[in-house]
Amino acid sequence: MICRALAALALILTGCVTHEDGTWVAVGIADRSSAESTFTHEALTLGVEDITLVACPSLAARVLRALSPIRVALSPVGVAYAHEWDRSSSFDARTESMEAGAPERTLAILSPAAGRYCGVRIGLAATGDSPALGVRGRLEESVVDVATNLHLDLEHDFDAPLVLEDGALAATITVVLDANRWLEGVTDEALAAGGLPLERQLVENVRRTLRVTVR
Amino acid sequence: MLVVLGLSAVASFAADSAWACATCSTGDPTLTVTGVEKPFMGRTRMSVQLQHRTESTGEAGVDAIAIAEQRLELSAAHAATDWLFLAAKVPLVRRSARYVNLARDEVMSLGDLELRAKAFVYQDRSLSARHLVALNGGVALPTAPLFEDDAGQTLPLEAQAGTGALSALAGASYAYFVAPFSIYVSANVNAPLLHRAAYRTGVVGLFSLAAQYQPFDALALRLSLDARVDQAVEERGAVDPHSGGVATAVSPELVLSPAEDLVLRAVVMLPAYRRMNGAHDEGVGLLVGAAHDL
Repeated sequence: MICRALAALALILTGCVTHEDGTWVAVGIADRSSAESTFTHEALTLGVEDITLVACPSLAARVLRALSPIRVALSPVGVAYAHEWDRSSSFDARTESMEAGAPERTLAILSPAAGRYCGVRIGLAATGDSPALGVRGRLEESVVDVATNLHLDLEHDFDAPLVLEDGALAATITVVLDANRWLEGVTDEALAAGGLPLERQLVENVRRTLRVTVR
Repeated sequence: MLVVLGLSAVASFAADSAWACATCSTGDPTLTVTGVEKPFMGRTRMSVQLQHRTESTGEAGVDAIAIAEQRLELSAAHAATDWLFLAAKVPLVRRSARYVNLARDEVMSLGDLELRAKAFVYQDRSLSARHLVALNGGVALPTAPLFEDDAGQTLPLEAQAGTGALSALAGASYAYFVAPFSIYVSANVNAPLLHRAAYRTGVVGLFSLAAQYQPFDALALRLSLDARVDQAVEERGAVDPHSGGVATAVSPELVLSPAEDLVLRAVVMLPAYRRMNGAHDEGVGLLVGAAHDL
Protein backbone atom coordinates (compact mmCIF):
# COMPACT_ATOMS: atom_id res chain seq x y z
CA MET A 1 0.00 0.00 0.00
CA ILE A 2 2.78 2.41 1.01
CA CYS A 3 4.86 1.37 -1.97
CA ARG A 4 1.94 1.95 -4.30
CA ALA A 5 1.28 5.33 -2.74
CA LEU A 6 4.96 6.28 -3.11
CA ALA A 7 4.99 5.05 -6.69
CA ALA A 8 1.89 7.09 -7.42
CA LEU A 9 3.45 10.11 -5.77
CA ALA A 10 6.65 9.70 -7.80
CA LEU A 11 4.57 9.44 -10.94
CA ILE A 12 2.77 12.67 -10.10
CA LEU A 13 5.98 14.50 -9.29
CA THR A 14 7.59 13.53 -12.57
CA GLY A 15 4.32 13.94 -14.36
CA CYS A 16 2.57 11.89 -16.95
CA VAL A 17 0.69 12.75 -20.08
CA THR A 18 -1.79 10.77 -22.08
CA HIS A 19 -2.99 11.63 -25.54
CA GLU A 20 -6.08 10.50 -27.41
CA ASP A 21 -6.21 11.03 -31.13
CA GLY A 22 -9.06 13.01 -32.55
CA THR A 23 -10.72 12.91 -35.92
CA TRP A 24 -8.83 11.27 -38.78
CA VAL A 25 -9.93 11.65 -42.36
CA ALA A 26 -7.86 10.33 -45.23
CA VAL A 27 -8.57 11.90 -48.60
CA GLY A 28 -7.32 10.00 -51.61
CA ILE A 29 -7.77 9.73 -55.34
CA ALA A 30 -8.39 6.63 -57.39
CA ASP A 31 -8.45 6.21 -61.13
CA ARG A 32 -11.25 3.84 -62.05
CA SER A 33 -11.76 4.57 -65.68
CA SER A 34 -14.60 3.22 -67.75
CA ALA A 35 -13.68 0.36 -70.01
CA GLU A 36 -16.06 1.36 -72.77
CA SER A 37 -14.82 4.61 -74.19
CA THR A 38 -13.35 5.92 -77.40
CA PHE A 39 -10.63 7.58 -75.40
CA THR A 40 -8.17 5.49 -73.43
CA HIS A 41 -6.01 7.47 -71.09
CA GLU A 42 -2.45 6.50 -70.24
CA ALA A 43 -1.67 9.03 -67.55
CA LEU A 44 -3.23 11.97 -65.78
CA THR A 45 -1.80 14.87 -63.84
CA LEU A 46 -3.31 16.91 -61.04
CA GLY A 47 -1.71 20.02 -59.59
CA VAL A 48 -3.14 19.76 -56.10
CA GLU A 49 -3.10 23.05 -54.26
CA ASP A 50 -5.39 22.41 -51.32
CA ILE A 51 -7.96 19.97 -50.04
CA THR A 52 -10.86 21.03 -47.89
CA LEU A 53 -13.71 19.25 -46.23
CA VAL A 54 -16.78 21.42 -46.67
CA ALA A 55 -18.84 21.75 -43.52
CA CYS A 56 -22.58 21.44 -43.88
CA PRO A 57 -24.17 24.83 -43.54
CA SER A 58 -25.97 25.43 -40.29
CA LEU A 59 -29.75 25.60 -40.27
CA ALA A 60 -29.59 29.37 -39.93
CA ALA A 61 -27.20 29.61 -42.84
CA ARG A 62 -29.44 27.38 -44.95
CA VAL A 63 -32.47 29.52 -44.17
CA LEU A 64 -30.59 32.71 -44.92
CA ARG A 65 -29.29 31.25 -48.12
CA ALA A 66 -32.75 30.16 -49.19
CA LEU A 67 -34.24 33.57 -48.44
CA SER A 68 -31.45 35.68 -49.80
CA PRO A 69 -31.69 36.79 -53.43
CA ILE A 70 -27.91 36.99 -53.43
CA ARG A 71 -25.98 33.78 -53.24
CA VAL A 72 -23.25 34.19 -50.68
CA ALA A 73 -20.46 31.67 -50.50
CA LEU A 74 -20.00 30.64 -46.90
CA SER A 75 -16.46 29.76 -46.06
CA PRO A 76 -16.18 26.51 -44.10
CA VAL A 77 -13.09 27.73 -42.32
CA GLY A 78 -13.12 30.75 -40.04
CA VAL A 79 -10.25 32.98 -39.04
CA ALA A 80 -8.26 30.88 -36.65
CA TYR A 81 -5.57 31.39 -34.04
CA ALA A 82 -2.28 29.61 -34.47
CA HIS A 83 -3.59 26.53 -32.70
CA GLU A 84 -6.09 25.71 -35.44
CA TRP A 85 -7.14 22.40 -33.98
CA ASP A 86 -9.60 22.24 -36.84
CA ARG A 87 -7.59 20.87 -39.71
CA SER A 88 -10.33 20.44 -42.25
CA SER A 89 -8.00 21.89 -44.88
CA SER A 90 -4.65 20.78 -46.12
CA PHE A 91 -2.47 23.22 -48.00
CA ASP A 92 0.25 21.36 -49.75
CA ALA A 93 0.83 22.30 -53.36
CA ARG A 94 2.20 19.42 -55.36
CA THR A 95 1.79 17.51 -58.56
CA GLU A 96 0.13 14.13 -58.59
CA SER A 97 0.78 12.10 -61.71
CA MET A 98 -0.91 8.75 -62.11
CA GLU A 99 -0.40 6.17 -64.74
CA ALA A 100 -3.51 4.35 -65.89
CA GLY A 101 -4.36 1.58 -63.45
CA ALA A 102 -2.26 3.01 -60.64
CA PRO A 103 -3.42 2.11 -57.15
CA GLU A 104 -5.37 4.54 -55.00
CA ARG A 105 -3.24 7.33 -53.61
CA THR A 106 -3.61 9.32 -50.41
CA LEU A 107 -3.57 13.07 -50.92
CA ALA A 108 -3.95 14.26 -47.35
CA ILE A 109 -4.75 13.21 -43.83
CA LEU A 110 -7.07 15.74 -42.21
CA SER A 111 -8.14 16.15 -38.61
CA PRO A 112 -11.18 18.39 -38.83
CA ALA A 113 -13.35 19.75 -36.09
CA ALA A 114 -16.10 17.43 -34.99
CA GLY A 115 -19.26 18.07 -36.94
CA ARG A 116 -21.06 17.39 -40.18
CA TYR A 117 -19.38 17.63 -43.53
CA CYS A 118 -21.29 17.70 -46.78
CA GLY A 119 -18.56 17.59 -49.37
CA VAL A 120 -14.93 17.75 -50.32
CA ARG A 121 -13.15 20.32 -52.44
CA ILE A 122 -9.84 19.89 -54.17
CA GLY A 123 -8.22 23.05 -55.40
CA LEU A 124 -6.15 22.60 -58.52
CA ALA A 125 -3.55 24.95 -59.88
CA ALA A 126 -0.52 24.77 -62.12
CA THR A 127 2.62 24.00 -60.14
CA GLY A 128 5.97 24.68 -61.72
CA ASP A 129 6.06 23.10 -65.14
CA SER A 130 3.05 20.91 -64.44
CA PRO A 131 -0.48 21.85 -65.42
CA ALA A 132 -3.41 22.16 -63.05
CA LEU A 133 -5.05 19.27 -64.83
CA GLY A 134 -3.84 17.14 -67.69
CA VAL A 135 -4.46 13.88 -69.41
CA ARG A 136 -2.60 11.89 -72.01
CA GLY A 137 -3.94 8.94 -73.96
CA ARG A 138 -5.26 7.61 -77.20
CA LEU A 139 -8.42 8.74 -78.93
CA GLU A 140 -9.05 6.04 -81.45
CA GLU A 141 -5.59 5.79 -83.01
CA SER A 142 -4.35 9.29 -82.28
CA VAL A 143 -2.18 10.28 -79.34
CA VAL A 144 -3.85 13.06 -77.42
CA ASP A 145 -2.41 15.29 -74.71
CA VAL A 146 -4.75 17.84 -73.19
CA ALA A 147 -3.97 20.06 -70.23
CA THR A 148 -5.13 23.25 -68.57
CA ASN A 149 -3.54 25.78 -66.26
CA LEU A 150 -6.90 27.12 -65.13
CA HIS A 151 -7.17 27.60 -61.39
CA LEU A 152 -10.15 25.48 -60.47
CA ASP A 153 -11.93 23.70 -57.64
CA LEU A 154 -13.19 20.18 -57.96
CA GLU A 155 -15.99 20.07 -55.44
CA HIS A 156 -18.30 17.19 -54.82
CA ASP A 157 -21.11 16.71 -52.33
CA PHE A 158 -21.35 13.52 -50.35
CA ASP A 159 -24.44 11.36 -50.79
CA ALA A 160 -24.99 11.65 -47.04
CA PRO A 161 -23.26 14.00 -44.61
CA LEU A 162 -20.09 12.72 -43.05
CA VAL A 163 -20.61 13.02 -39.30
CA LEU A 164 -17.51 13.11 -37.13
CA GLU A 165 -18.28 12.69 -33.47
CA ASP A 166 -17.41 10.55 -30.48
CA GLY A 167 -17.40 6.95 -31.63
CA ALA A 168 -17.09 7.94 -35.29
CA LEU A 169 -13.77 9.68 -35.56
CA ALA A 170 -12.26 8.12 -38.66
CA ALA A 171 -13.25 8.16 -42.30
CA THR A 172 -11.71 7.61 -45.70
CA ILE A 173 -12.80 9.71 -48.64
CA THR A 174 -11.88 8.62 -52.11
CA VAL A 175 -12.25 10.92 -55.06
CA VAL A 176 -12.82 8.59 -57.97
CA LEU A 177 -11.70 9.82 -61.37
CA ASP A 178 -12.84 8.43 -64.68
CA ALA A 179 -10.18 9.77 -67.02
CA ASN A 180 -11.41 7.74 -69.98
CA ARG A 181 -14.48 9.98 -70.08
CA TRP A 182 -12.63 13.27 -69.84
CA LEU A 183 -12.76 13.89 -73.55
CA GLU A 184 -16.40 12.95 -74.08
CA GLY A 185 -18.06 15.27 -76.54
CA VAL A 186 -14.77 16.70 -77.71
CA THR A 187 -14.69 16.85 -81.44
CA ASP A 188 -11.66 16.38 -83.66
CA GLU A 189 -11.97 20.04 -84.61
CA ALA A 190 -11.96 21.15 -80.98
CA LEU A 191 -8.92 19.00 -80.31
CA ALA A 192 -7.12 20.46 -83.26
CA ALA A 193 -8.04 24.01 -82.29
CA GLY A 194 -7.14 23.59 -78.60
CA GLY A 195 -7.26 26.69 -76.43
CA LEU A 196 -9.70 27.75 -73.74
CA PRO A 197 -12.85 26.07 -75.14
CA LEU A 198 -11.10 22.70 -75.09
CA GLU A 199 -9.78 23.30 -71.58
CA ARG A 200 -13.27 24.23 -70.36
CA GLN A 201 -14.71 21.12 -71.92
CA LEU A 202 -12.04 19.06 -70.17
CA VAL A 203 -12.80 20.66 -66.81
CA GLU A 204 -16.54 20.20 -67.29
CA ASN A 205 -16.05 16.52 -68.12
CA VAL A 206 -13.81 15.98 -65.10
CA ARG A 207 -16.43 17.56 -62.83
CA ARG A 208 -19.28 15.63 -64.41
CA THR A 209 -17.63 12.24 -64.15
CA LEU A 210 -16.23 12.72 -60.67
CA ARG A 211 -17.50 10.48 -57.91
CA VAL A 212 -16.73 10.44 -54.23
CA THR A 213 -16.96 7.52 -51.87
CA VAL A 214 -16.93 7.85 -48.11
CA ARG A 215 -16.31 4.92 -45.80
CA MET B 1 -5.52 9.61 -7.09
CA LEU B 2 -5.59 13.24 -5.99
CA VAL B 3 -8.51 12.50 -3.69
CA VAL B 4 -6.63 9.61 -2.07
CA LEU B 5 -3.62 11.80 -1.44
CA GLY B 6 -5.80 14.56 -0.06
CA LEU B 7 -7.64 12.24 2.30
CA SER B 8 -4.33 10.79 3.42
CA ALA B 9 -3.07 14.26 4.23
CA VAL B 10 -6.22 15.10 6.19
CA ALA B 11 -6.01 11.79 8.02
CA SER B 12 -2.44 12.53 9.01
CA PHE B 13 -3.53 15.86 10.40
CA ALA B 14 -6.37 14.31 12.33
CA ALA B 15 -4.11 11.61 13.68
CA ASP B 16 -1.83 14.18 15.17
CA SER B 17 -2.30 14.02 18.92
CA ALA B 18 -0.44 17.21 19.74
CA TRP B 19 -3.53 19.36 19.70
CA ALA B 20 -3.06 23.04 20.27
CA CYS B 21 -5.68 25.74 20.47
CA ALA B 22 -5.14 28.34 17.78
CA THR B 23 -8.19 30.35 18.68
CA CYS B 24 -7.00 30.51 22.30
CA SER B 25 -3.65 31.86 21.18
CA THR B 26 -5.18 34.54 18.99
CA GLY B 27 -7.89 35.37 21.48
CA ASP B 28 -10.46 35.21 18.71
CA PRO B 29 -12.96 32.41 18.06
CA THR B 30 -13.34 33.36 14.41
CA LEU B 31 -12.94 30.41 12.08
CA THR B 32 -10.30 31.35 9.58
CA VAL B 33 -9.80 29.61 6.27
CA THR B 34 -6.41 29.02 4.68
CA GLY B 35 -4.57 32.27 4.07
CA VAL B 36 -6.70 34.33 6.40
CA GLU B 37 -5.33 33.02 9.68
CA LYS B 38 -4.14 35.33 12.45
CA PRO B 39 -0.53 35.10 13.50
CA PHE B 40 1.00 34.04 16.76
CA MET B 41 4.54 32.90 17.21
CA GLY B 42 4.99 29.23 16.49
CA ARG B 43 1.65 28.76 14.81
CA THR B 44 1.87 26.02 12.23
CA ARG B 45 -0.98 25.26 9.96
CA MET B 46 -1.26 22.50 7.43
CA SER B 47 -4.00 22.52 4.89
CA VAL B 48 -5.24 20.64 1.91
CA GLN B 49 -7.62 21.90 -0.74
CA LEU B 50 -9.14 20.10 -3.67
CA GLN B 51 -10.53 22.25 -6.42
CA HIS B 52 -12.40 21.36 -9.57
CA ARG B 53 -13.04 23.81 -12.34
CA THR B 54 -13.82 23.91 -16.02
CA GLU B 55 -13.02 26.43 -18.68
CA SER B 56 -13.27 26.78 -22.41
CA THR B 57 -11.34 29.06 -24.70
CA GLY B 58 -11.44 29.63 -28.40
CA GLU B 59 -13.97 29.67 -31.16
CA ALA B 60 -16.27 26.67 -31.47
CA GLY B 61 -15.42 24.57 -34.49
CA VAL B 62 -12.11 26.32 -35.05
CA ASP B 63 -9.74 26.45 -32.12
CA ALA B 64 -11.86 25.86 -29.03
CA ILE B 65 -10.34 23.96 -26.14
CA ALA B 66 -12.40 22.61 -23.27
CA ILE B 67 -10.40 22.35 -20.09
CA ALA B 68 -11.18 20.45 -16.91
CA GLU B 69 -8.86 20.74 -13.96
CA GLN B 70 -8.60 19.13 -10.57
CA ARG B 71 -6.05 20.72 -8.33
CA LEU B 72 -4.96 19.39 -4.97
CA GLU B 73 -3.04 21.96 -2.99
CA LEU B 74 -1.04 20.96 0.05
CA SER B 75 -0.03 23.99 2.11
CA ALA B 76 2.03 24.57 5.17
CA ALA B 77 2.31 27.88 6.99
CA HIS B 78 4.48 28.62 9.98
CA ALA B 79 4.64 31.81 12.01
CA ALA B 80 8.32 32.31 12.70
CA THR B 81 7.47 35.34 14.82
CA ASP B 82 4.21 36.86 15.98
CA TRP B 83 4.11 38.97 12.81
CA LEU B 84 5.63 36.82 10.08
CA PHE B 85 4.15 33.81 8.37
CA LEU B 86 6.20 31.65 6.04
CA ALA B 87 4.13 29.52 3.74
CA ALA B 88 4.63 26.93 1.04
CA LYS B 89 2.04 25.58 -1.33
CA VAL B 90 2.50 22.42 -3.36
CA PRO B 91 -0.14 21.88 -6.03
CA LEU B 92 -0.78 18.55 -7.67
CA VAL B 93 -2.64 19.03 -10.88
CA ARG B 94 -4.69 16.88 -13.17
CA ARG B 95 -5.73 18.72 -16.28
CA SER B 96 -7.39 17.62 -19.46
CA ALA B 97 -7.73 19.61 -22.64
CA ARG B 98 -10.11 18.56 -25.38
CA TYR B 99 -9.79 20.12 -28.79
CA VAL B 100 -12.32 20.72 -31.54
CA ASN B 101 -11.10 17.69 -33.46
CA LEU B 102 -11.92 15.64 -30.33
CA ALA B 103 -8.27 14.93 -29.62
CA ARG B 104 -7.51 15.05 -25.95
CA ASP B 105 -4.45 15.60 -23.79
CA GLU B 106 -4.45 14.79 -20.13
CA VAL B 107 -1.61 15.62 -17.79
CA MET B 108 -1.11 14.86 -14.15
CA SER B 109 1.84 16.25 -12.28
CA LEU B 110 3.22 18.60 -9.74
CA GLY B 111 2.17 22.17 -10.42
CA ASP B 112 4.10 25.34 -9.73
CA LEU B 113 5.41 25.45 -6.16
CA GLU B 114 4.72 28.68 -4.28
CA LEU B 115 6.81 30.06 -1.45
CA ARG B 116 5.50 33.11 0.30
CA ALA B 117 6.17 35.27 3.34
CA LYS B 118 3.37 37.27 4.89
CA ALA B 119 4.29 40.09 7.26
CA PHE B 120 1.67 41.64 9.47
CA VAL B 121 2.68 45.27 9.43
CA TYR B 122 -0.17 46.52 11.56
CA GLN B 123 -2.54 45.12 14.10
CA ASP B 124 -4.45 47.25 16.54
CA ARG B 125 -3.64 45.00 19.49
CA SER B 126 -1.60 41.92 20.09
CA LEU B 127 -4.39 39.74 21.44
CA SER B 128 -7.76 39.51 19.78
CA ALA B 129 -6.74 41.97 17.11
CA ARG B 130 -9.58 43.49 15.14
CA HIS B 131 -7.63 45.22 12.41
CA LEU B 132 -4.79 43.46 10.68
CA VAL B 133 -2.84 44.72 7.73
CA ALA B 134 -0.36 42.44 6.02
CA LEU B 135 2.00 42.53 3.09
CA ASN B 136 3.17 39.43 1.37
CA GLY B 137 5.80 38.51 -1.13
CA GLY B 138 7.12 35.36 -2.61
CA VAL B 139 7.95 33.37 -5.64
CA ALA B 140 6.26 30.79 -7.82
CA LEU B 141 8.70 28.26 -9.17
CA PRO B 142 8.17 26.54 -12.52
CA THR B 143 8.25 23.10 -10.95
CA ALA B 144 5.56 21.73 -13.23
CA PRO B 145 7.10 19.70 -16.04
CA LEU B 146 6.64 20.94 -19.58
CA PHE B 147 4.65 18.40 -21.48
CA GLU B 148 5.19 17.66 -25.14
CA ASP B 149 3.31 15.69 -27.72
CA ASP B 150 4.65 12.68 -29.60
CA ALA B 151 6.31 14.97 -32.14
CA GLY B 152 8.22 16.81 -29.44
CA GLN B 153 6.08 19.91 -29.73
CA THR B 154 5.28 21.63 -26.45
CA LEU B 155 1.61 21.19 -25.61
CA PRO B 156 -0.40 24.40 -25.46
CA LEU B 157 -0.58 26.28 -22.20
CA GLU B 158 -4.14 25.05 -21.76
CA ALA B 159 -2.82 21.52 -21.40
CA GLN B 160 0.02 22.30 -19.03
CA ALA B 161 0.00 21.87 -15.27
CA GLY B 162 1.96 25.08 -14.71
CA THR B 163 2.84 28.37 -16.32
CA GLY B 164 6.42 27.48 -17.13
CA ALA B 165 7.51 30.78 -15.61
CA LEU B 166 9.41 31.92 -12.56
CA SER B 167 7.09 34.51 -11.08
CA ALA B 168 7.28 37.10 -8.37
CA LEU B 169 4.35 37.23 -6.01
CA ALA B 170 3.35 40.30 -4.05
CA GLY B 171 0.25 41.44 -2.30
CA ALA B 172 -1.46 43.16 0.55
CA SER B 173 -4.41 42.31 2.73
CA TYR B 174 -6.61 43.82 5.34
CA ALA B 175 -8.67 41.82 7.79
CA TYR B 176 -11.32 43.09 10.17
CA PHE B 177 -12.62 40.91 12.95
CA VAL B 178 -15.58 41.79 15.11
CA ALA B 179 -17.36 38.63 16.20
CA PRO B 180 -19.51 37.22 14.73
CA PHE B 181 -18.46 39.08 11.60
CA SER B 182 -15.19 39.37 9.76
CA ILE B 183 -14.08 40.91 6.52
CA TYR B 184 -11.04 40.15 4.46
CA VAL B 185 -9.78 42.20 1.54
CA SER B 186 -6.74 41.31 -0.49
CA ALA B 187 -4.93 42.29 -3.65
CA ASN B 188 -2.20 40.15 -5.12
CA VAL B 189 -0.05 40.30 -8.20
CA ASN B 190 1.69 37.44 -9.96
CA ALA B 191 4.37 38.79 -12.29
CA PRO B 192 6.25 36.31 -14.50
CA LEU B 193 9.95 37.14 -14.63
CA LEU B 194 11.55 34.32 -16.57
CA HIS B 195 9.89 32.00 -19.03
CA ARG B 196 11.17 28.63 -20.08
CA ALA B 197 8.43 27.64 -22.46
CA ALA B 198 7.24 28.55 -25.93
CA TYR B 199 4.68 30.79 -24.35
CA ARG B 200 4.80 33.86 -22.15
CA THR B 201 2.14 34.25 -19.55
CA GLY B 202 1.28 37.78 -18.53
CA VAL B 203 0.88 39.59 -15.24
CA VAL B 204 -2.08 38.41 -13.20
CA GLY B 205 -3.89 40.52 -10.62
CA LEU B 206 -6.07 38.81 -8.03
CA PHE B 207 -8.49 40.77 -5.90
CA SER B 208 -10.77 39.44 -3.23
CA LEU B 209 -13.38 40.80 -0.88
CA ALA B 210 -14.83 38.32 1.59
CA ALA B 211 -17.35 38.71 4.36
CA GLN B 212 -17.95 36.07 6.97
CA TYR B 213 -20.73 35.57 9.46
CA GLN B 214 -20.29 33.05 12.22
CA PRO B 215 -23.57 32.31 13.98
CA PHE B 216 -22.13 29.34 15.89
CA ASP B 217 -18.69 28.52 17.26
CA ALA B 218 -18.30 25.67 14.82
CA LEU B 219 -20.00 27.07 11.76
CA ALA B 220 -19.52 30.13 9.63
CA LEU B 221 -20.96 31.34 6.36
CA ARG B 222 -18.70 33.16 4.02
CA LEU B 223 -19.30 35.02 0.80
CA SER B 224 -16.49 36.30 -1.34
CA LEU B 225 -16.24 38.29 -4.51
CA ASP B 226 -13.09 37.48 -6.41
CA ALA B 227 -11.73 39.22 -9.44
CA ARG B 228 -8.93 38.14 -11.70
CA VAL B 229 -7.28 40.46 -14.20
CA ASP B 230 -5.11 38.67 -16.75
CA GLN B 231 -2.71 40.04 -19.26
CA ALA B 232 -2.91 38.24 -22.59
CA VAL B 233 -0.71 35.22 -23.16
CA GLU B 234 1.83 35.16 -25.91
CA GLU B 235 2.32 31.80 -27.51
CA ARG B 236 5.02 31.04 -30.05
CA GLY B 237 5.38 34.71 -30.78
CA ALA B 238 1.67 35.37 -31.30
CA VAL B 239 -0.79 36.80 -28.82
CA ASP B 240 -3.51 34.33 -27.94
CA PRO B 241 -6.65 36.28 -28.84
CA HIS B 242 -8.65 34.24 -26.36
CA SER B 243 -6.58 35.18 -23.34
CA GLY B 244 -6.52 38.15 -21.04
CA GLY B 245 -9.29 40.19 -19.54
CA VAL B 246 -11.27 40.41 -16.37
CA ALA B 247 -13.23 37.61 -14.73
CA THR B 248 -15.08 37.71 -11.47
CA ALA B 249 -16.72 35.07 -9.35
CA VAL B 250 -19.09 35.06 -6.44
CA SER B 251 -18.32 32.31 -4.00
CA PRO B 252 -20.63 31.27 -1.19
CA GLU B 253 -18.84 29.13 1.32
CA LEU B 254 -19.55 26.97 4.32
CA VAL B 255 -16.88 26.84 7.03
CA LEU B 256 -17.06 24.15 9.68
CA SER B 257 -14.96 23.23 12.65
CA PRO B 258 -15.87 19.68 13.72
CA ALA B 259 -12.92 19.54 16.10
CA GLU B 260 -10.64 22.00 17.78
CA ASP B 261 -8.08 23.47 15.40
CA LEU B 262 -9.61 21.72 12.43
CA VAL B 263 -11.39 23.87 9.90
CA LEU B 264 -13.24 22.43 6.92
CA ARG B 265 -14.58 24.45 4.05
CA ALA B 266 -16.75 23.91 1.01
CA VAL B 267 -16.96 26.57 -1.65
CA VAL B 268 -18.95 26.98 -4.82
CA MET B 269 -17.42 29.45 -7.26
CA LEU B 270 -20.03 30.98 -9.50
CA PRO B 271 -18.78 32.91 -12.52
CA ALA B 272 -20.07 36.47 -12.52
CA TYR B 273 -19.12 39.54 -14.53
CA ARG B 274 -16.65 38.81 -17.29
CA ARG B 275 -14.90 40.93 -19.80
CA MET B 276 -12.52 38.54 -21.44
CA ASN B 277 -10.72 38.88 -24.73
CA GLY B 278 -11.93 36.64 -27.52
CA ALA B 279 -13.98 33.60 -26.68
CA HIS B 280 -13.43 32.51 -23.12
CA ASP B 281 -15.85 30.91 -20.71
CA GLU B 282 -15.53 29.54 -17.22
CA GLY B 283 -17.79 27.05 -15.52
CA VAL B 284 -18.86 26.66 -11.92
CA GLY B 285 -15.96 25.71 -9.67
CA LEU B 286 -16.00 23.63 -6.53
CA LEU B 287 -13.53 23.61 -3.69
CA VAL B 288 -13.32 21.59 -0.53
CA GLY B 289 -10.55 21.96 1.99
CA ALA B 290 -9.32 21.21 5.44
CA ALA B 291 -6.87 23.15 7.60
CA HIS B 292 -5.38 21.93 10.80
CA ASP B 293 -3.31 23.83 13.38
CA LEU B 294 -0.58 21.66 14.75
